[in-house]
Amino acid sequence: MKVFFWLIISLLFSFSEVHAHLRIQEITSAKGIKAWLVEDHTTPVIALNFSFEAGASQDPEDKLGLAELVSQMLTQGAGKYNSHDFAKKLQEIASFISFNVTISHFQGSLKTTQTNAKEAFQLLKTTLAAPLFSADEFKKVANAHITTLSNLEKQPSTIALYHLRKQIFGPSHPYARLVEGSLKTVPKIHANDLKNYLKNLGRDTLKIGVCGNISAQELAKVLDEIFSSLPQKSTLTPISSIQFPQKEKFTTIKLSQPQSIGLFAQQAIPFKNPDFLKASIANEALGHGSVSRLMSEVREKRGYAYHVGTNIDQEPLMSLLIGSVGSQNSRIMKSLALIKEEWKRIRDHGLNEKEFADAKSHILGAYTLNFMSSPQIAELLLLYQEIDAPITYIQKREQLINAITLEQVNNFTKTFFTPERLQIVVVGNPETGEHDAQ
Amino acid sequence: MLRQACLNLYIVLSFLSCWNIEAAVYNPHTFTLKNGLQVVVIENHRAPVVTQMVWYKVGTIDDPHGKSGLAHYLEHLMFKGSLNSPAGKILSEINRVGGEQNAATSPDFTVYYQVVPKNKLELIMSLEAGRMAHLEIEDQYAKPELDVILEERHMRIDNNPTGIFFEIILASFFKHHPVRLPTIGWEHEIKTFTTKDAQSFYNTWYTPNNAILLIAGDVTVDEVKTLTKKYYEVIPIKAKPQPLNIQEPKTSPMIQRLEMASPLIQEPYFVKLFKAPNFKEGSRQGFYALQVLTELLDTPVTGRIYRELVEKQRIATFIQISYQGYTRGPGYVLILAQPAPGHTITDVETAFNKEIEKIIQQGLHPSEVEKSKSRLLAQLDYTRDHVLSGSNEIGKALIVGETIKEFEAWPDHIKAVTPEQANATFKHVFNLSSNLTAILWPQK
Repeated sequence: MKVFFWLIISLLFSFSEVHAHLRIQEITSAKGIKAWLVEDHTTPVIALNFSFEAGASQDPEDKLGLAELVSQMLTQGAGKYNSHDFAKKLQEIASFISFNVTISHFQGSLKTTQTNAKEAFQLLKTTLAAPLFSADEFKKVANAHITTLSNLEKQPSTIALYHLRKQIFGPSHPYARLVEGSLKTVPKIHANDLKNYLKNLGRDTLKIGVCGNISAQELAKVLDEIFSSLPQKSTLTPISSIQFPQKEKFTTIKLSQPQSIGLFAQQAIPFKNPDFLKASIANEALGHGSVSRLMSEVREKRGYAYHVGTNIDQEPLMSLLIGSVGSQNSRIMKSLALIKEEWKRIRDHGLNEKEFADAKSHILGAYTLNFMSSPQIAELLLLYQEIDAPITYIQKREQLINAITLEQVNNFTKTFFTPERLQIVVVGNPETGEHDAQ
Repeated sequence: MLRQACLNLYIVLSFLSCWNIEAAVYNPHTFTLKNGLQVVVIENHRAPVVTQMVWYKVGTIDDPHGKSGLAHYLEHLMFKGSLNSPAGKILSEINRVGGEQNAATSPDFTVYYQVVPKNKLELIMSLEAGRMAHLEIEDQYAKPELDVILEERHMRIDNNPTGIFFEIILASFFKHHPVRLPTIGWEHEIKTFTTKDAQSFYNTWYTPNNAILLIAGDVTVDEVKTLTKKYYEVIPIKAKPQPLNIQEPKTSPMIQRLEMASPLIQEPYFVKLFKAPNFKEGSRQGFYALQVLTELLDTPVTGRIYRELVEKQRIATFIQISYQGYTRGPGYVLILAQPAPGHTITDVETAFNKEIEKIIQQGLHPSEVEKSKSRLLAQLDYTRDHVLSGSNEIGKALIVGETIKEFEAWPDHIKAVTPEQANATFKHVFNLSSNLTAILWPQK
């Protein structure tokens, strides 16, 4: 299972010292392909990250896992290179091409150096335009994937996340799937299905972030070279919107492990919502990171867990505030009761002044840590485009955060936190007769 | 939450990259303070970020007999204390300025680190120096932490499909050296830890003359000199640690086999271990030759053994070969593979052994060795791209006693590996009459 829900929130904070020399340019190529670029000639590296708005949620019902297999097969040969020659070529030019699938996006990345850039771009173009998808290589990749999947489906953390998503989105909703597919559907996928999936990868949803040793003019040419052969428009199946469940629900999945895993979630708000930063500040105080109310109550004071925490997961269909905890079977219910108590407390009483000041100061400072390497910056540029942030966002962010008052946050928490609608899944063997989380 | 990572439990997932990508030339600067604390500075001005790492030369292999996991317990307690003590406030202070922090215990070392915006360097130095100078462990903080560690053990070992398997493999493969003990500790021994145990471990090992301070990022050597004088040089020496120099007994060649079952898997795993010289054992040539060899053998698609088992014969879905050589304890090579559907563990084992025998008989072609060396060296282009790059690698190297000079000469040492050395090292290490084979079956 991809840990998709941890990725996004930490990137949304700004720090003035950084953006002073982080100049983002918007590039539009002759053929109309757009990218965000941070040009940096002090490093030999060029990192290019791109994505299409088509992830595992676009897999046909009977072929779940298709996008994932496409992502693996794209690097198994293209153009004149068979699988072996493709890998050899990448090694020769010390470059890396890889693909990754989430529930909502199909992502690609290239890492190369200025010396090898020309060949690397050419190879990426071939990868996207002329993948071989050979039946023989497919057999190898699919077999390996089935082996991985059969172990994955038995892991407590996978089971928990899968059930939580089913509970939130409904059992047959595309967002309730495992990105990797299932043992029932993967064997039904054939090599010739892969080509079909590519029609989802069109220029209309393409987003590109680039950082490193390349000028705007060069990049404009490169964009046309790599991406212009893609279909103009993707054919995407619309995903039906859903209502977050109205009532709290608690599901237990029995598994004989000494430690139970608990996942819990409520609906959050999307990045575009003007209150988003308030939600970030409130989440910081409740459960994000190493210092939070949940850490203090569950771990520090009582030793009930090693890990407990929350994150805001931004998916296009719905934003979730999702958390997890691991506690021994005799204590998991107590841990969950404490968590729910904190959920109520933050709703009813908000943050105190110190928590508020610390949370703000944390999200301002932490932003600097997003700019440590070219691939990291390229990924950030891509992410901002995926969530439709304005290009000036990095500049404005610090000001936006500083303008927020404690009173505004505490008004916001009253309606934002909905403990009475928490969706909870426990995998393990919780002892009954303990404190009831419901 | 990654605060306390047990490095040795992650070997299977993480060690692939440790040679192939990171090692390189970083131009570090080093000096030693009057109290014996070695300071290393790696300047990199790519982003306004700085990291501080303190590496203590103490790890699981130094745990007292019967107290496996004590080094790791102390690592947790370094974040505990009254709110006016450095240990008690380090988490919240660094969190407040947006810093990241973490710590890790391994068989060989315990490391604490923070990454912060560069204008917060003085803050993190004062806090880290504070808990190096003094830590008073109190029952009220130490006792609940035992439960936290047991939960960590459940998460990392019991809920992990291969967790117990790798614990037992190491405990079986090594007969005497404490590298056989789990970093997090055996559960029954964790339960015996007392506040006094942890305090006395701290007093014995956490002294400036037993540590390395590493500062990397957007900072100058002069700034670091000024700050270390102010915060670190004033820390008195607490003790002169004397690590035990335990050796594995020399035994006759032996074939060992171990089989276990796990309810958390559906498809079996195949593991093989060979003894291999570490950084200090045997000739240094073998150490570098092994780095070339692992690249040559298991690189996906093109690696010699990978190609044979995964690509051509398609008996395995993957194969990873890793060399644990930057270690204070005995070194080893670990192979991990999984059979492809329609094939058995026996197929994997037979094909693997056959390929080893073939290489022993026919030798590796000189051009294979040269290509592997070029591929390793090609990664040097990337080493300065990350503002903090080099800090981890240099720390690990210094812990085992490598000098900065030798570390920096890594490209030359790799270039110097000859096909003859590679073949001789291969024959010496991949000894089919002395090794351990371990199989993890799905529990039916």
